[in-house]
Amino acid sequence: MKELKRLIQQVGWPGKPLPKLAYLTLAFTLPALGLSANTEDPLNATRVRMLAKFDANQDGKLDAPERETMRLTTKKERMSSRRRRGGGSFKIPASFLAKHDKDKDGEMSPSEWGSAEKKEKEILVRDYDADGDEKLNTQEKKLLMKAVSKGAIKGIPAHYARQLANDGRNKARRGEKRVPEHLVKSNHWLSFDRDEDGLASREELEAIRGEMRHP
Amino acid sequence: MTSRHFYPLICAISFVFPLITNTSPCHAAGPSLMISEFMSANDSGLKDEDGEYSDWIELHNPGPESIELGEYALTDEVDKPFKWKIPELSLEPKAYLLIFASGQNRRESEQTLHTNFKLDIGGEYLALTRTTEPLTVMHAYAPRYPKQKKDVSYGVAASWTIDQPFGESEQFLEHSTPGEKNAQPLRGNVKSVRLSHKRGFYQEAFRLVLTSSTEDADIRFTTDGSLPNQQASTPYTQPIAISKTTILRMAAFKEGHRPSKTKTHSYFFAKDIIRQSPDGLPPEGFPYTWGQNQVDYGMDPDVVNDPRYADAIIPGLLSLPSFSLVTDMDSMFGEENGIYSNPGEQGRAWERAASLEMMDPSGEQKGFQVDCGFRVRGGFSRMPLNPKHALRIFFRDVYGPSKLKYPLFGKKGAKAFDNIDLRTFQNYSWSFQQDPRALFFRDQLSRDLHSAMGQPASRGEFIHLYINGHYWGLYNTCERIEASYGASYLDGKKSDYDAVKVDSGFTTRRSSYTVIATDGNLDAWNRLYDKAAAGLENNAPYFALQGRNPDGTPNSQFETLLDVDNLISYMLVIFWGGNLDAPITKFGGNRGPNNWHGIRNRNGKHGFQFFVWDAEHTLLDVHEDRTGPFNTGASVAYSSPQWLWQQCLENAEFRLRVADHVYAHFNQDGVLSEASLRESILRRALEIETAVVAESARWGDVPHGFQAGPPRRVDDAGNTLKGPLNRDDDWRKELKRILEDYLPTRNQVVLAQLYPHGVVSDLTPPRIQRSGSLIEMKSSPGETIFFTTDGSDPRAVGGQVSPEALEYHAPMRPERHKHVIKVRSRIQDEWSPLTETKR
Repeated sequence: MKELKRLIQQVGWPGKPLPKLAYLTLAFTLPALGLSANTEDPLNATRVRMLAKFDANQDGKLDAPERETMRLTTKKERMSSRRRRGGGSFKIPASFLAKHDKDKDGEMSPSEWGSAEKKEKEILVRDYDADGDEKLNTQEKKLLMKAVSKGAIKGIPAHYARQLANDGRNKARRGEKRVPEHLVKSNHWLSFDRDEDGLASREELEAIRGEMRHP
Repeated sequence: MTSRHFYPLICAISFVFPLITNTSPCHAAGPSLMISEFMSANDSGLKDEDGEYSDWIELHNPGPESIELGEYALTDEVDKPFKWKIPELSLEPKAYLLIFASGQNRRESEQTLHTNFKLDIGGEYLALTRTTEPLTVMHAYAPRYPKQKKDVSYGVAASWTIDQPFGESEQFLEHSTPGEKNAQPLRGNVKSVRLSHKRGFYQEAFRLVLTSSTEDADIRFTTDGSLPNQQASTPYTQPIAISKTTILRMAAFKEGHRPSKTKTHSYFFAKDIIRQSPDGLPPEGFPYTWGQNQVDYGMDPDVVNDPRYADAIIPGLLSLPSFSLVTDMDSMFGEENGIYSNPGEQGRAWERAASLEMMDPSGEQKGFQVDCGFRVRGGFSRMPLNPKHALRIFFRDVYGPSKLKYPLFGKKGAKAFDNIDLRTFQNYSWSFQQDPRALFFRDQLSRDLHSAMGQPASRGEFIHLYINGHYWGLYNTCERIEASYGASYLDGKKSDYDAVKVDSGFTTRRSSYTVIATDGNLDAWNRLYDKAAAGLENNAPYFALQGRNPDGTPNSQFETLLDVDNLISYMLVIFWGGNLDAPITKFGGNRGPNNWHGIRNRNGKHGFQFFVWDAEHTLLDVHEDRTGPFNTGASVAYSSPQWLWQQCLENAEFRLRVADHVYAHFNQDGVLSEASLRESILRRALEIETAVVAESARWGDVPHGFQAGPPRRVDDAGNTLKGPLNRDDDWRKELKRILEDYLPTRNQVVLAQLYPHGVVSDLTPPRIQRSGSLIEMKSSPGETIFFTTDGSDPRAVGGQVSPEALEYHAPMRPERHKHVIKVRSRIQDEWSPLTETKR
């Protein structure tokens, strides 16, 4: 029993402490399932954790309905956690849900997220497009980014605004990723290219080597 | 009738009438201007100033007086005699003028001229007309010139004299001469050059003898990768002393004859390869710069002279087959024209001609030489900061054979290829990011694992590459997943296939990172997406995707859109590898797709099948969880196998099928069992273990150009390591980490990650034991064992016992069956994963 308690503590038990009955049930059923209180084995640890959480009838195993509850709960938890991560500290406000939850099921499906992003970005462009050319220039992007940093963009995931403000930066980044000058030693060699054909001849190479020996 | 109306009528009468009566108008006083030559099927000949292979027309003034061209026009339509007026120019006596027939309509007299029409390969009317009185057709190919041949011009024979009519002298001109006097017709081919020594690796110097059986043939050769010609190339006068690595291209010429086919032979001496450019300077004849790309040459003496590698560096070079790519320097490194100098450029315009030789120093493989095209390939690795680019080789009839006919991947692989990839190791490589985690077989291992699961996969092997004789490092051959792959390995013809992938990569154009079709179209993929998006929880839509009825039986009325077993095994490889960049990318917030390929035969029975691709971001964090679910697949453009997996997970039959695969692959001797994985990893590691030393000498010292530098290198005592990245300090260390840290726990970690998705069973299938001819099955207490002998599942869709299944009671002596015996156990309503007897 002590071993089992240690295991459950190690694998990070969520929620309240388990009732004593649950420990007893697990202590008897784990060996029957071929499981041991081996924390080295991540699968066994997960099984123990899931069993403790989803074995509603406490018969020591997950039957089909319990497994389905486990699956759906896992899915819901992970999707909402990822949504939170995707939007930084974004918690879906009622206004956002009212606007974009088309099937009114209280959830944002992937396709609803997709169309929401498109629409909200269009609104952002409209709001910050000072010169009315239907796109954001560098100055307009700077203002948008300023608004993001001040926390002025509310009611939508902040990354919508960040992406718009950074649009085109990839191009700049590609430019930055040209070979830095200090790495281009080959440009220096060109000064030895007497016949200006761009190719290294024996004589030119000897001249470069001469300079390398006596800089 | 005004003069404005009258003029076209005059034109029509004066031009059409002579064309009806005489295909080539007369020139009583001798012709004063003529279309001496043109080309309407320019595939690889003369390029215009835009770099395009435009059609062209050559005008010639055969007379003794200058001609003012402003009075003339060119046309390809009888009804429009002045379709393109030639600008005000003067053509000197005996002179030629070249005009591109590109349709671009460029008339600035000081620039290259372009007509406002193109020429038809199939044949059409082409005429030179005079726009001033007397209005006349100066020279016409009428009523139409014949169907044209690729890269062959048409025009007036060189033997034509000014007192002859054109018609009798018009002919195909095999040796086109744009802007110059037309060549005499050629009399046969000069016989190929014969060499006294085969291509390959040598230890001792030798004298190479070249011969041609054509009498008085003039043999010319080059050693810089360029094609030989009779004007500038070195004439062969005596045997050539070959005492160091040498790339020879040679051809035989004879006046009035077609030159022989160019031959390319590479001769390698390992002892001088390891000493190539030890100071990093260009080898003689190589360029100082590679356009915008970072330059790196040579073998690092710190590695070559390292006592640890004294006995490994040469065996390392000889341990793998070698590919020798030979091309002219400008095609590779030219600032404007070179593909290596412009690595972000894509498409056919950035494909160059080359020779590719394969030589196997072990002598096990025969090898080949083929003339081919090649391009830079890849996504992230195209950046100019990367001095070692991946390449793609194309086999086309414009270069040589339209297919490479060689068993590159052994007896089980395809025998003919349209193209092949030469992959580098862009992420976690020494050459690009100076990353000590370079392993060189991350991607290949994932492809191997998918193949070992019985699924089609892109085959690959390791090779050494040489570019114009300079060692270019370790590369990995790889089959392209496209229609030709399906036709080679699956069923049907190339035209039957839809091939889909994600448009991605670092290129001069902006990649969309959406799903595109590279062969066929996206129609079936769109239908698959729509059906999967509608929900797959119920069996009817789930099985319909597989061309089946709701009870799982085949229905020929339904189209098969998805190969579920392929999808499952593909995703298990992704999960086990902890792949961060496929089929959705963590670097894009796990929303968008990346690095996956799918193909489907529209007339086939399989549905879409998926292929591991660019699995570089793998084998990293042992706790990496890629099982999701993720907010991905918001639209069909951003869909992926991972999104399909998530949709399918809603279906209980799918989850049980996954559990079957999980059991088959993760347990006992399954492909993803620790023992099998260790074997797969070690097989690839041993294959390249000595070759990695050569890679280290070539690319271990490239300065990295990223702001965030590579991970710190430390030895076992924690001291920072300096000097080139190398096998013993870096590669073996990473391999050890994989074998000792990642491998022993990864499959249990992945099973733990999959468990909450309901796809890992708590039951184990019955154990099957053979004792002589007796088969005995054992299961846990309370479980009942069911089996079939016809290859079907003992469990019916929905969970009932299949009508074909038998209940096991006691050891049995089965008859010889065509199929394996399939077995499951059942307790209450729950079924174990499927297992089966070995054949």
